[in-house]
Amino acid sequence: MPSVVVDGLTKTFKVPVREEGFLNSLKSLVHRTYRNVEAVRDISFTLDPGEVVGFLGPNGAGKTTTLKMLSGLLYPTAGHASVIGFDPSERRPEFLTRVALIMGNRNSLMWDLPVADSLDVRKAIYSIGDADYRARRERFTEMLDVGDLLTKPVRNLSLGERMKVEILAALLPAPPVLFLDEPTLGLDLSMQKRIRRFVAAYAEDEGATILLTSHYMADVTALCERVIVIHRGSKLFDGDLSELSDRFGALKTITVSVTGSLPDLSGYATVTERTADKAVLSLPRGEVAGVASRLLANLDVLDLSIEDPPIEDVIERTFASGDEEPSVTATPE
Amino acid sequence: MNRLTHSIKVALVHWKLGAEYEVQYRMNFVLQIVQSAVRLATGIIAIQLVFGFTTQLGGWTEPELYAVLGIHVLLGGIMATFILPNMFSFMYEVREGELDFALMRPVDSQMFISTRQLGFWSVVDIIVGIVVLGWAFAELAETIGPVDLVLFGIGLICGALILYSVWMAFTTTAFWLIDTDDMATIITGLYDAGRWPIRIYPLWLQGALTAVVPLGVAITVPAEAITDRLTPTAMGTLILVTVVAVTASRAYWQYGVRNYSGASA
Amino acid sequence: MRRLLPIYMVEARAAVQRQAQYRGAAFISVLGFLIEPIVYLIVWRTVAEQAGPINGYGVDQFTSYYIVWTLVRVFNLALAPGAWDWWVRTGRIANDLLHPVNPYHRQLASMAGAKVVWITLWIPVAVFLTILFRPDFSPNLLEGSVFLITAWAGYVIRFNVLWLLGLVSFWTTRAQALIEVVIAMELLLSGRLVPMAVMPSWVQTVSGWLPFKWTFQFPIEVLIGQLTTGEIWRGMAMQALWMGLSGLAIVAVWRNAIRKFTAVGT
Repeated sequence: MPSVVVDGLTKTFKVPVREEGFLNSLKSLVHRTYRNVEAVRDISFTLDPGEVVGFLGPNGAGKTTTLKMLSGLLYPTAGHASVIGFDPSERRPEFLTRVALIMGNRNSLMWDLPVADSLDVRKAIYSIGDADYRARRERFTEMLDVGDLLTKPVRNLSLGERMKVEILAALLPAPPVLFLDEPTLGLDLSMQKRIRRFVAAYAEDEGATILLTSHYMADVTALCERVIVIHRGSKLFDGDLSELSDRFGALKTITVSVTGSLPDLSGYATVTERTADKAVLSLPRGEVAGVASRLLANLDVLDLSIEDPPIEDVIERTFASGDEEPSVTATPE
Repeated sequence: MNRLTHSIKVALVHWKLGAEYEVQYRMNFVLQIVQSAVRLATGIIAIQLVFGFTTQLGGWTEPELYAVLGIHVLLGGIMATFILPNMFSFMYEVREGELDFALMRPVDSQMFISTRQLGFWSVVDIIVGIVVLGWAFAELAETIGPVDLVLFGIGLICGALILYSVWMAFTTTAFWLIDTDDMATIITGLYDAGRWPIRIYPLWLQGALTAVVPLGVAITVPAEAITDRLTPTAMGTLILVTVVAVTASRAYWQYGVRNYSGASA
Repeated sequence: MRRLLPIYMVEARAAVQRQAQYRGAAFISVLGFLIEPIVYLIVWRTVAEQAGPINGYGVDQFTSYYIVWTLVRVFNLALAPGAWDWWVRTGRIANDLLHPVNPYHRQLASMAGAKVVWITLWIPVAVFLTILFRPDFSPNLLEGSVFLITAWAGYVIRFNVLWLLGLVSFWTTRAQALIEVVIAMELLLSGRLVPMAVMPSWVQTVSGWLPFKWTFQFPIEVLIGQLTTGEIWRGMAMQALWMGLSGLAIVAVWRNAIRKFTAVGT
């Protein structure tokens, strides 16, 4: 049985429209107009137990809204979600105990108190048994290397340190389903790596289902084989990360260097970079084999390499293909 | 585990940590003493001023008014210790968009947001209230019987529950009105209206402080129990109002949470 | 002055817009000011009914006094110590200190602008109170104009006093205790709790030399006609004196307070 089933999930927000200017603000004293914004439109997918899936999309694509609906924080306007057999919007304690939502740059620990105190509170809230609590706390503390942070008040921690203890606290109940919303936002590279390693280890050890959003493609490539891409509230893609580039026709690159001087290569493909004896060509996947063999045949090739495009480019092209205006309807009220 | 005992367990952990934390800040203790002293002094001065010109206020004598003042300070202390810090941090969380985490905890959300903080040093007000009440009791001893004491006790419990429910209802409004500081001022103002027996107020105001924002009955009825003027109607009203306030504020909270998540929009 | 005027205009206008946007909250806060004076009003009417007029204050005078009280309360709202605390603790003050204009001017103007909305919202409140308590007073145009001047002057004095208290809180957290005491003194000596006429005569003398009474009771009594022309002139002189003194005190303290703030940081 899949651990997460999402079927036609839709969320529409009603937001007040405020026009600029002094007179308009006086007018809004008596009369306000609203408009409907479709944050999430008819999204469907399923996640199997133990899957770690990247959830991608530009800012405002509807990622956080979806995660909140899956955590029971937002009630869908239409459609249905089922997470480990529960309807999230019922917010049953049994459901909430088994699901964790971690949001980057956000703090859920007690600000003025030492981290350890917050952990004790979590133990009580999630009714974690003494033995489990001690074991997990010790294991996670070691994996995240936060032993010396537990006695410090949260307010004295750096952003990265705070994120680590945030994750530690959220995982103490060992939730089988984990929603991570930009867990590495604003962190330096080594901190990102450590958190990535920890999440991978947690998924492995606990067989947890994880849905992860991130702006850092390294997070996604390191953790997820499968990605779901949404843009302006709609799902654009759901499949293997490697398929993403095929589907959206991202270009491959051929780097070629020759002995002697380099002739004009614009007949083969688009030249994106060139020096006296080296050039980088960019071309559709399907043409790679033909162009490469022609280059090898016609030139005195010293070295030739074929590379997949950087994932950022792929994502960018994916979004470009889905670009259209979101549907907005004005409803005065 | 029973959900209520679970909530109480979580509350006890929070309170323990809150007290441990606050105790470190001795300066807050000094501040609280100054604050309590200043407030007690202004309360006494107000009563003294009135009795400089008359011997009774709407039928209430000076020691009887001290009984009202004592209950006012005592319930105010309970409010500042157990209720206010929670309500303010909730409003803060709504404003800063940090409420999500609280709503994701597998505990009763109302119990949870109501028991996370403890204004430890405000126990000074509880003590001051008891002292003032003690003084009033000594003055009024002749007319207080054991039944009065029991009714007084029940009245105080009802009063505390009403205070909590009123705050809870106002706090819940933060789901819609983000800027709630002003409302906090209003409830404090309404609570201060209870410093005088509401029976001296015109009927419309008595009604408002009984049925709309029942902070008035919460203080006056217990005071009536120990000043030999409690009627069965008043006691019945207090109990009825308590039941309604507790259930209505809970229903309102649940509606607020559903609305916050867009379930009832 | 010429440099500051446009800034005052901009800040005041922005405040009007902000308040208009949160008009629900603004109206609630104006309503909130009602409870306190209504309670005083009822208590002192009851006393006056039982004991007769007290030093010129009978039932009618108490009624008028506490109704105008609500308007003056709106007028002399200033940055409360709690707001100062928030301003410093959240670090927002740092942003404001980067601004080339002293935050004093911006805050003074901003709160003045907010009052325009609040006073508008106060009108239905006043109508309601008048119907409810039927006060017996009819100010003329002159009294009304003098009232406006003295009420704005009262605002500036109160704003300055609270500003000074806020600056003191830069030095020491102990200032909180001082603030509590000053606020209590204000309650007792400004005419907010009772008109000074009800107080013992030595308290009346003391209150005459402190700023509080000139921010609260004085404008009220101007409008309800409790004062002679001579008393009004003297009162306005006292207001001028306190505006000057408090302004000088702010100038004297400001530089050191900011140095203290930037040294400690947040």
